[in-house]
Amino acid sequence: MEEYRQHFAFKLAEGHTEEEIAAKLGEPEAIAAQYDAVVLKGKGGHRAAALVGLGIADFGFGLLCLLLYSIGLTLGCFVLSFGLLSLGLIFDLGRLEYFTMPEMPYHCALVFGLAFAALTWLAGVGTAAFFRLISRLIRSFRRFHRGVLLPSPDKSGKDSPAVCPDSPVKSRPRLRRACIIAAVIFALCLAAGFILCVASSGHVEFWHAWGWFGYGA
Amino acid sequence: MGIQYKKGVLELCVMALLKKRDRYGYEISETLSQKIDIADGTVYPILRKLKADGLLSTYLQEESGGPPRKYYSLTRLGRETYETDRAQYLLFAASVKKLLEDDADE
Repeated sequence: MEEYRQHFAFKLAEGHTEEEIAAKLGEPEAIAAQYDAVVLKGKGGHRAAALVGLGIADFGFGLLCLLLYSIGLTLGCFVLSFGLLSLGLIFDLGRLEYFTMPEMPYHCALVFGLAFAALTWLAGVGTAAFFRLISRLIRSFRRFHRGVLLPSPDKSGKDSPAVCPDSPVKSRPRLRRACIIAAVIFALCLAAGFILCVASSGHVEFWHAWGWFGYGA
Repeated sequence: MGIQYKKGVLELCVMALLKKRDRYGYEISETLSQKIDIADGTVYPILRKLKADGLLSTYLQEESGGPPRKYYSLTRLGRETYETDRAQYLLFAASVKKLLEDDADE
């Protein structure tokens, strides 16, 4: 970079504009490809050091993937829980023997069920985006791996995948609309359900009035 | 002039300039781009590659009224490599020249 800085300094002193200097430097891709080809040539010691470094990086990245997949699994469990809860509330599955549901009037359960159905959708979209991020990270790491071992420039014409991909919500208008609707439904139904429960039980702390935690109000 | 056969020769040209005396990067780039039709930015990656290969060494020299300049010089390995490559290239160029001249005569 210092060479290029001095190049610009000399050319500017000669009276050229920055645009003229940049235009005469040549194609940035061609220059970058020349720099890519300089990596790790010649001495075997460099390659051995690179392999050791790669091994350490692989180990660290493996641990990171384990952590990320664990988080993803937890998020998946949340999605499943919200989904089952919403089904249980909407279809009154509390009457089934092995389905324990908090006792409440059906109209309250229905509204809460809709709220949790919307939350299930939002959590599902978030979890899918999280797994997509993990797969992008893995692909980027594989490209880095290949780049260290085989430093020839990538002439495939494909752009490197961004490590942090654009959110799928941003890039798909229908999905964005669906998420906004789900968020609104969740907020409205949660508030409405709370109000209905208070009205039905006659107590602000309706969960005590209905003995949800084993004792009354 | 096509880009492919320029590329192979540029390293040799850089070493030829440095055989005469040490030079800084911009000086090498300017001199070469006046004699050969190349982009101004082509030389710097070549200098980096030759240094990575151990053929060049660098040192900083203070300049009056400006930042220190990085000068390039040929190492002993660079001089040996230059002499070998120069001889091979001149032989190669002579053979190609003869081939092309024979083709023109036919």
